[in-house]
Amino acid sequence: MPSLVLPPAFLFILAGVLIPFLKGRVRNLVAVVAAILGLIQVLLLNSDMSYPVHALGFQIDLLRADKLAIVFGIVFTFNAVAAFLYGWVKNKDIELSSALLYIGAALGAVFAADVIGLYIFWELMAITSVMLILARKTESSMAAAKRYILVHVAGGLILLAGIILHVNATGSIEFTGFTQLNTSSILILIGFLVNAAAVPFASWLPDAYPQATIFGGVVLSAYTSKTAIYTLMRGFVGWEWLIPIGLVMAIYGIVYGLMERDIRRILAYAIVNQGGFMVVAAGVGSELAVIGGVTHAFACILYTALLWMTTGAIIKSTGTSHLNKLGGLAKSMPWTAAFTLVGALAISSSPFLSGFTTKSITLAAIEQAHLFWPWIILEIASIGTFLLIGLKLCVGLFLGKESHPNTTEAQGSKLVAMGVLSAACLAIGIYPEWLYHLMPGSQATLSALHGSFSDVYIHHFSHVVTQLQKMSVAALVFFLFAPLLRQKDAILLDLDWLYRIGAKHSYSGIKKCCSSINRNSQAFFIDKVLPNCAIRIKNTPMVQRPVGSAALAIIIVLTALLVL
Amino acid sequence: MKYLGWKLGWGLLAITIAIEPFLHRKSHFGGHGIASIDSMIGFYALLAFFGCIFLMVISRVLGQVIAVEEEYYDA
Amino acid sequence: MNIAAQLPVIVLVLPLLSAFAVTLVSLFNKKLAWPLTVLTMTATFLATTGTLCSVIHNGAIRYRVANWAPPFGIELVIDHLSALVAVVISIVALLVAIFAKETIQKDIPNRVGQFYTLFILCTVGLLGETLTGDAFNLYVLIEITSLTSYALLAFGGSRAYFSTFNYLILGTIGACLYLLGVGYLYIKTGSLNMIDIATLIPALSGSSAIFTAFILILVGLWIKMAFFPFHGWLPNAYTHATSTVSAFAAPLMTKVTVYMSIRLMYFVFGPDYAFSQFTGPVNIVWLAVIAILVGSYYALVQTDIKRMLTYIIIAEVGYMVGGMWLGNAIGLTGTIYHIAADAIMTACLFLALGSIAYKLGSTKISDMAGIFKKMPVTFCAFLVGAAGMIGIPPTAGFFSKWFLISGGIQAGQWAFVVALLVSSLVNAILFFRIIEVGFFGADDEDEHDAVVVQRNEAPLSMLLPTVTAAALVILLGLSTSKVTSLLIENIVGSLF
Repeated sequence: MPSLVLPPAFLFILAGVLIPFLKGRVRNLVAVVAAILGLIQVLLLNSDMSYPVHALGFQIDLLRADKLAIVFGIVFTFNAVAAFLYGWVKNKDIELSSALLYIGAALGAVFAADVIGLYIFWELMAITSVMLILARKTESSMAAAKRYILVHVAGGLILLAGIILHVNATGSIEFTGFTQLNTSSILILIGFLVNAAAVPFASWLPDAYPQATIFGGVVLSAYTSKTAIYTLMRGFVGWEWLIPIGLVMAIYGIVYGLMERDIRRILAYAIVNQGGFMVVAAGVGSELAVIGGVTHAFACILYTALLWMTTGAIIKSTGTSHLNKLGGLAKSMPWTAAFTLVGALAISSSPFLSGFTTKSITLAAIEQAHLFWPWIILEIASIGTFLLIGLKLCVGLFLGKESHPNTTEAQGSKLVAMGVLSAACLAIGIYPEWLYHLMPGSQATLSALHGSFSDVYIHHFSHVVTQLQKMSVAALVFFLFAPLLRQKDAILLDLDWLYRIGAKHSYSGIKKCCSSINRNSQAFFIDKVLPNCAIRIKNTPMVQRPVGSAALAIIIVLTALLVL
Repeated sequence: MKYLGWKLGWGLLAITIAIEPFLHRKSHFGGHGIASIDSMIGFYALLAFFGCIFLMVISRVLGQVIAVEEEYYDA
Repeated sequence: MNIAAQLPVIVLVLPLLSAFAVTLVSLFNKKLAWPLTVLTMTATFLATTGTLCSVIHNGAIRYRVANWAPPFGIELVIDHLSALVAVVISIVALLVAIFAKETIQKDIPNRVGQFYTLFILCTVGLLGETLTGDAFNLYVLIEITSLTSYALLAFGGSRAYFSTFNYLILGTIGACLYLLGVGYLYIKTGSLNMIDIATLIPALSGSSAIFTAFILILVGLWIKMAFFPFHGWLPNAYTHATSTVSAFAAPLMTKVTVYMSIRLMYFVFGPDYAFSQFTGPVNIVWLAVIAILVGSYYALVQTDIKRMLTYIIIAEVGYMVGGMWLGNAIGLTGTIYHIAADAIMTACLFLALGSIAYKLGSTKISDMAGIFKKMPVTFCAFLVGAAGMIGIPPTAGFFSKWFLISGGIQAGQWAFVVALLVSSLVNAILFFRIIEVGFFGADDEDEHDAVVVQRNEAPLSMLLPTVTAAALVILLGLSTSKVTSLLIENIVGSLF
């Protein structure tokens, strides 16, 4: 007998709605408390709980707490605690409120048992996340927000079309693995891939996320893309087309990131790159691959948020986000530098940090599936991540000549948040067992995963050695060939050209076409036909023209219907 | 600082390659053909080297093609 | 005398009488016109709700006016569909009546009495159109509604005169076509009573006179509901009217006309007849698709919010006509549900916009900068209406889109489905522009100092209806299953 429990999403949504009515630090307190309570609630969930709602002739269950959902729920809420600690000094109601609603919507999507519930929260995520971009109030962020909402509403509508088709065809609204390759599942897949920032739908992420506020960027970095990964892990496990898509994502992120100058744009491309690993994992589809993808997602949320936090602090202190204008900050911002290093090493799969114990599972699953070239490409992408974040970003930010000698270190609450996340990264890296136990999967697969410190670092010491080998070579190549990467300031063209310029051209084209039709039909009917029909019409005032053309339309349609 | 970086880099590389023969790494992809090269000593070093060069070159080349001036979309 | 049994005619007679009362009273004391109107509308609302409850419990009501038997007497037929639409009309009329106080005081202070009289008469006309069971009576009521609406729309000033005149000509053409159609029907069937005619049509289905009647009635009503390509009159007419009149006309006029076409097409001619006439290349759903796309396209180019909303109305009419011509139960459910949903959402948007126009004096998008700070409640109500138009759950708009898309898929009308999705996307873009300017347009200070922007919210008499309409958008959405099961399924079930 399933017990009736409110989904964790409601807690966050309630908090988000309350925020505008509170003042000052109370807002931040409410946010942090909501996040902590959410985390506790998620930890207490089990699969017996449900929350059914009746609508559209279906019973929509808003709470399905199986292992896959609970894992994502844990990391979402934990990250929320850290994010709201980071944002302790921020008081703007729009940002806090939107962040709470956004995180609540993400939780709702993860715990929804059926596609209708998923869709409702999916839309809610889109409209709340755009507020975090708008909140920055610069002209470029307004424009980026417009493009963001365009992409996400379009993606959501494609998802809706797929959902309605699917529900019509199968009669079931359950959100479970899609097995058939037909229009509805492809449409739903596209809807999910848009949010996952899969190529060719990736350009919105590097366009929009760096335009958000500092706090907004930290919150945005985690939820949309990882909720999409969750949906892929649930709905499209084993779909082979995901493998090449993920590979392209992983390489695309590095190649574009290496050309970038803005530190948060680099991180945005890193999100796409990391997402590529998870998409490949979903494509491989074995139980080990799913575990790899999910653990990687767990770790990725934490170290990505950490990196957005530290770069946000740097932007706040120095006033710029341009890599060429920054440098040598290790002296004036030592703590921030240390935390950035932790995050960078984590994303690069350095030993003792979370990437090492999570990304490797995905790679092991690919090895088990005997997919040689995907493995090579992902290995290269993984090294590329170190090149991009560990080397290009960190060296550029913290070594070299001091650009801003007198900047202040980040504020206390920010450092606390960064510390919390760094500790988590270390914990996962040193003793991943507790994380592995949370994973969905059969007993056999789980028991094959060894997570104690000795297992990882002593039994599989070769793994440590090879990893250090890769990283040392990458560092050497970087220092040797660093001038190769220098480039002037530029914008990188991407597929968003289609709706940025392409749309403008097609719009003006349609306009010209329509107005010429208008002019020509006007000229034909009004100036030629009507005067021949009735001479008086020519002398009547302007108001008769629209009437005349409308009357003519009536006559035409009437005759057409009567005749045909 | 830079000398330390170089020393660390080359040193780590040397140590890791030196330890490799004692680790008895097996190939993950079966014993035959091109797929087994990952059991070779120093494979990962070569992978990293060529991988990095590959990424940096692609990035540079692609940059020549797709990098446009910052006002491109503002017209 | 049982009041409940007389409710149907009370719904019509009460406001009719009070319209005259308002005229008389306002000759002595202008200030009494508004309270009297609000009182009337409240009573009407209660009456329509009572009728709805009665229909739900007891089934359809056939009420003979003055007890004269049809086919000579006029019959009022109230089934689930008319009861639903009547309630919607009375709710919107009540909300606008409350809203009218300040704006009418400001815009046309010396003709207050005439305004309220016309307002009530127009409501009577609309209710009559909904409740009547007689085809010729329907024409009379169409004319009553149209004439009063022309007068109401013309209150808007000099530009309104031309647009209303334009509307007058086209509307009269439409009404005449309808009358011609009814004439043909009468010639062939000998009866003017709708239920009567419905029994006689199947025997006559081969007749070309009946076919001509069908086409004439259809096109006549399409002109009145601004269905493409007859939509030209709507944008100008509604934009140039005063905000109160737009808030009254926009939600109701076109929707009630859609109701009338459902009534005539499905209940008089019957779905078998109607769909058998349109096999082959001529497909009304395609016209609906074009209507949706044209409406959305023109809405994109507008800089004035009011005009933009009128083009959205044209697209919404496309939704409804397409839905009813899909030929399946879900499509018709979507159309009927959308009549109610769209009426409430449009009312919400126009009421909010009217409040903004009252305070700001403009409805241009560029003038909306920072309006969230000045009029937060009104703007939030506007956003709820916008969310409904876009189709965001749990607003009512999402559910009607769900029904219409499902119906389109079932009927294999993919163009219709794509048009619905494109229209949602376009609506998202349109309203996002307003959101962006409204929330963040004005430059204000950083996080630390909260610059106190003067809250200049609309007066209570305008705020209350706006917020109620917004609440109804969500409430209607949340109670979709009740509405469909209690009302719509009864209607649709009897047809398919």
